[in-house]
Amino acid sequence: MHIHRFERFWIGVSLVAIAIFIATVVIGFSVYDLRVIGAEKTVDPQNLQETKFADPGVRKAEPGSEVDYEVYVMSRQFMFNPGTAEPITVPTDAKIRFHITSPDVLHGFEVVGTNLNTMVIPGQVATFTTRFDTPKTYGLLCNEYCGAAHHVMEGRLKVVSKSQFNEKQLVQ
Amino acid sequence: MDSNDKKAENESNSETSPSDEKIRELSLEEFNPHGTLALTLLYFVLLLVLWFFMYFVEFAGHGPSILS
Repeated sequence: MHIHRFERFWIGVSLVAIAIFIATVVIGFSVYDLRVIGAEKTVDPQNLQETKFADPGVRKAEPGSEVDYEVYVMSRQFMFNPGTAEPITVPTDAKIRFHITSPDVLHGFEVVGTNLNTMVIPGQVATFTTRFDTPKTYGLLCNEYCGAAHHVMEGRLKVVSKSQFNEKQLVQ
Repeated sequence: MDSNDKKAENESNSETSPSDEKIRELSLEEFNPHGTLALTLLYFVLLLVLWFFMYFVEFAGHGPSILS
């Protein structure tokens, strides 16, 4: 088959463009350390009272853990617990692992204005680790339609400096 | 229809407009659409610039991000 040299040229350019796209994703993964939500644990949504979600909130991670704090959040119609009634308060410069689940229907957990965003599926625990560099209050919102009052399902995530963080507020 | 048939048709058709007349014949390799080439390259440049903007500014620069 005869291909005109201009066509050969732009087929080559397309292949180079694809190679560049793949390379940027690899650089994002390796240099920028960007990850996506990993494998979730499963949990019985009818029996969350027997898990750490019975007493949700911010906990100090167990000694030897690769993270500093663990945050358990229960998303339910139509609130985040904690998050809606009182903000989730975490310190800066600490590795924080979020565990989020739902006892009722599908929800979303989005920290507005950041890349922290996950689906919350009943029966599964969405887990991700992050780190906040500066104190700031972020909004939380549910971005999966979850019922009649979905549009009012929101909360707050308060990042305070390490010195202002009161460990007495932690869930024991 | 091959080119000889076309030529014969053109000669027999007295109402042929000047724009239908063959001025010169080009082989595929002699046809060089530089405008199309420039436009295609412009699209590729735009695609790459917008990709870098989307990935490195709108996504990677939109921290905090998921670390693991």
